[in-house]
Amino acid sequence: MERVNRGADQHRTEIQEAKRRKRERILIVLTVLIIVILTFAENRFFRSQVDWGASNDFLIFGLININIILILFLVFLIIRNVVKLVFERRRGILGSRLRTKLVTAFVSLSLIPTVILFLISINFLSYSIENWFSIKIGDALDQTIELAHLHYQQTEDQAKFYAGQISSDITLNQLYDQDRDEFLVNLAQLKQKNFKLGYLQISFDNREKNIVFSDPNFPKVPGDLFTAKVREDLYAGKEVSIVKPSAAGDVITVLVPIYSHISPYEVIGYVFVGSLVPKQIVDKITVVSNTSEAYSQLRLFKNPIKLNYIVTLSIVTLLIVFSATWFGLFLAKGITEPIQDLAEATHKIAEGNLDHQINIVAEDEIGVLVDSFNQMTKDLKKSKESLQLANADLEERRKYMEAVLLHVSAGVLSLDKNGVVTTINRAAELMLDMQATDVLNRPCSGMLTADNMSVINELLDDVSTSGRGVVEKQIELTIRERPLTVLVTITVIHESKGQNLGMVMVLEDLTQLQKAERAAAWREVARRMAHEIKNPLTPVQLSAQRLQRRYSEKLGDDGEVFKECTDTIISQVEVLKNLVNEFSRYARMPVTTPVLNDLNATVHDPILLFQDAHKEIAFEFNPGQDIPPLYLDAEQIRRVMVNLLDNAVAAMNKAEGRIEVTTGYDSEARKARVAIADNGCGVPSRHTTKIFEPYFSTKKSGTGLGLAIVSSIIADHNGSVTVRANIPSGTVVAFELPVPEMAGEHEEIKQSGIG
Amino acid sequence: MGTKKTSQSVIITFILIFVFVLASCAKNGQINDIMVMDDMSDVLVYARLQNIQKGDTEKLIYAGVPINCTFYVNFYRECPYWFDQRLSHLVVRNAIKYDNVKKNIYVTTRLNEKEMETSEFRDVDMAEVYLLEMNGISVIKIRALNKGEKYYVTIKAKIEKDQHSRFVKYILLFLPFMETETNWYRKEFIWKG
Repeated sequence: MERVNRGADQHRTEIQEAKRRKRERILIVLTVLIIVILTFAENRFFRSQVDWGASNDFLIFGLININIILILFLVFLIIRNVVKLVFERRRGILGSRLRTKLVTAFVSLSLIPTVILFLISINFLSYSIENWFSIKIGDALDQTIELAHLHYQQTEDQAKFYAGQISSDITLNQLYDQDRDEFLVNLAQLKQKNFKLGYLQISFDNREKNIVFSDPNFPKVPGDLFTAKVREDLYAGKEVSIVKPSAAGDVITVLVPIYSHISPYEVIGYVFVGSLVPKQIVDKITVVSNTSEAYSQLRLFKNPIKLNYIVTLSIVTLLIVFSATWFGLFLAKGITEPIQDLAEATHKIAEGNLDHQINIVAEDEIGVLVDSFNQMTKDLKKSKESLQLANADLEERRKYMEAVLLHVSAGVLSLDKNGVVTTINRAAELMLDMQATDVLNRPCSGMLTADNMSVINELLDDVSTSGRGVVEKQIELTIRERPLTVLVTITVIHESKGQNLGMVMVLEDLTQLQKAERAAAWREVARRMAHEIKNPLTPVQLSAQRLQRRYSEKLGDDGEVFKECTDTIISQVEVLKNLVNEFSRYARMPVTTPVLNDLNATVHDPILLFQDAHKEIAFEFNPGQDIPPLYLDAEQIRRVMVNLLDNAVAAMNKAEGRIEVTTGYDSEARKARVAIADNGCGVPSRHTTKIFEPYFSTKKSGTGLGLAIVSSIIADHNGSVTVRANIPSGTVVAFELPVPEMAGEHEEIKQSGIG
Repeated sequence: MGTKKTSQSVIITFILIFVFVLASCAKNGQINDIMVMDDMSDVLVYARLQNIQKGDTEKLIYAGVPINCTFYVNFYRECPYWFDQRLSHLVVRNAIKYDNVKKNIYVTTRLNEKEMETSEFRDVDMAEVYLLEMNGISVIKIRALNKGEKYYVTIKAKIEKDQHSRFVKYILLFLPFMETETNWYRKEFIWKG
C-alpha cells in the first residue's frame, strides 16, 4: 500500500514538474518576445520626430526599465535552469550528464563567436566613434563657422565704417542745418552710390522726414528694430548693429549716432546703414552652422552614444547567449527526456511493474525506440502472465502431490542420485520417528541408526546390483526400541533421456497388520486347542478321581502312592483346564461395545482393588485433567488395567515397591494416555518385541496371554500399547486411546460452560 | 505556485525600481525673490530660480542644445468657505539658444507658447541669469480683482533640455536625473486699490 502511495506521489510530482517546466518555457519565450517588441518600440520612439508630450520621458524610461527587468528575469530563469542542471548532475539524475554536455556545447558554440563578435564590434565602434570626432573634422567645421562669422563681422564693420564716415561728414559740414538740405541729399545719394550701400537712412531728431536712399532689391526694413534698448544705446553714443533675417537674406543694420558740430557729445540724429547678406550665402552658412552644431552636440554626447551602442550590443549578446543556453537546455531536454523516461521505465520494469508505458509521441527514432520499448513491455507482460499461469498450475500440482504424499498411509522418501534426502512425507516421519527438517537435504546414511541403515543399505545395494530398478522386501527395523515391520519398495527414477535422478523409497508399515494376523492365528490355535484339549481333560480328571475313590483304599500301602499320583493327575488336569480356559477366553474375546466413559474412573477402580490386596506396594494414581469422555468398553479397560497391574506387581522383587499410574490427554494428537510405571525388575530389551505375543511370559506361572489380551483389547479400541524401560529401574507400559471428535466438542462445550 | 511567486517578485521589483526612479528625480532648486505687485493696470509677477545644479549646462548651450526654463504661474482668489478660485494660469517659457555664426546667445520668452521677446547676449552667464528669471509678467488685469480681497500666486519652475535636439535621445536614459523641477511656491497678494 505504501509502495502504491509512494508511486502515486511520485507520479503527481512528475506531472507538477512537467507543468512547471512548460510554464517556464512559455515565460522565457514571452520574455524574449516582449524584450524584442519593447526594444523595437523604444527605437521607434527614439527615431520619431513626433512630440509625445510630457509623458514621453516616463514612457521611454518605463519601457527601458521593463526591458531591463525582463532581461534580468530571463537571466534569472536561465541561471536557475543551469543551477538546477548542475545539481541534477551532482545528484546523478539520469540524463543530466548528457544534458550538461549538450548545453555546454551549445553555449560554447554560441558564446565563443558571439563574444568575439561583441569584442570586435565594440572595438570597431570605439574606433569609428573616435574617428568621427577626429580633430581635423572639428577644426574644419570650426574654421568654416569662423569664416562665416568673419563675413558677418566684416559686413557689419564695413557698414559701421560707412555710416561713421557719413556721420562725420554731416557733423563737420554741419549739414544738419535745414538750409543745407540740398548738400545733405546730394551727399547721401553720392555715398549710397559710391559705397554701394543697400540702404541708407539719415534721420534727425528735429526733423520729421528722413533722407532715405536704397537699392531697389534691398528688402523692406523691419519696423521693430528701434527697441528701447537700441534707442538707449544709440543716444548714449554707441554704435548699434542688428542682424535681422528676411526673405532675401540676413539684413545687417548698423546705427551710428550723428553729433552736433557745436556740441560734439550731443547726439542729434543717426545714420542707418543696411547691408544684405544674400540668401544663397545665408543658406550655405546655415547648413554649415547646423552641421557644426550637430557635430558639437555629437562630440558632447560621444560617451553616452558609445555607451548606448555598448549597452545595445551587450543586450543583444546577452540575448544570443541566453537564447542559446535556453535552446541548448530545451534541445537537451528533448533528447534526454525520452532517454530518462526509458531508463526510469527500465527500472520500473526491473522492479516488476510491467504495466508501465512511456507516453511520448515522437516521429523520429526516439519515437520508434519508445514504441519498440512499449511493445517489448507488453510482450514481457504476456510472457510473465503465461509463466505465472504455468507456475500456478505447477504449484497446484505440487500441492496436490504433497497432499497425496501427506495423506498416503505409506511412508515415501525420495533420494537424489547422491543419496541425499529430497522428500519425506508425514507418514514416513511418523513411521521412522524423525522430523523432516532433520533429514531433508542431508545424506540418507545419517537418518537411521547403524543397525537399521545396514538393512536399508542392503536393499540399496540390491537395487544397484539387480539392474531392474525396483526392489521390494519386507524388513524388520527397531525404531526407539519399537519393532517395526516394513515392506520397502525402492524404485530408481530415470528421466526421459535415461539419466539417473535418484530413487523413491516407499515404506509400508506392516507391524499392526502382522500383529493382527498373529493374534488371529493365535486365537485360532487357542480355539482349537481349547476345543481339542478341553474335551478329553474332563474325562481324564473324572477318571482319575474315580480311580482314587475306588482303588486308593484297596491298594493298601500302595494306596498312598496311588492317591498321590491321582492327586497329581487331578491337579495337573485342573491346571490344564485353567490353561485351556484362558486360551478359550482369549479365543472368545467378547465384542467390544464402547460407550462414553470417564477414563480416570475406569482406571481408578482396579487400582483400588490392587491397593487393598497388596499393602506392601505403594500405588499412586495421578489422574490427568481435562480428559474428555472417551468411547470405551469399561469392563475390558478394567481387564487391561488388571492384567497390567498384575504384571507390575509380579515384577516387584524388592521391599519398597512402587507403582505409579498416570493418565493424560494430548489435545493436539487427540489421544488419551494411561501409563503404568513400576520400579520392578523390568523387561529385557530383547523381549520387548515379543511380550505382546500370546504364550510369551517371563513369569514362571504365567500363561503368556495377559499382554496379548491387553494388546487385543487396546487394538479393538483403535489404540496402541508401548513398553519402555523405566528409569532408573522397572518398566513403563502405556496405552493410548483415541479421543473421538464428538468427545472433543463435548469437552470444549463443557469448558466454555455453554453446554 | 513557484511561477506565481516569481511573477509577484517581478512586479514588486518593477514597482520598487519605478518608485526609486521617481524618488531619484527629486525636486531641487529654489524660487526666490518672488514679488507680486500692480502697475495700475496689471498684476505683475517677478521670480528668480536659484540653487540649481548647473553641471554641463554651459557646454550644452555652446553645443547648440536648446534649454528651457518654464515657470508655471497660477493666480488664486482665497475663498474662506470654499475651494480657492483660480483666476488665471500662465506658462512662461524662457528658451536659450546659441548662434554659432553670430556668436550670440538668444533668450526667447514665450507666454502661453506665444513669443513675447528675444534678448541677445554675448555672455553666457548673463544669458543664464536672464533664462532663470521671470520679469514683470502680467498675470491678471487689475480690473478683475476686488479691493481688500486676499489673493495669492503659486509658482513652480522646471528646467529641461529640448528633447527634439537630435542627440539628446542618446542620453535619454539619464535625462530624468539631469533635469530640475521645483516645488510649488506661494506668495500672498492683497490689492488695496
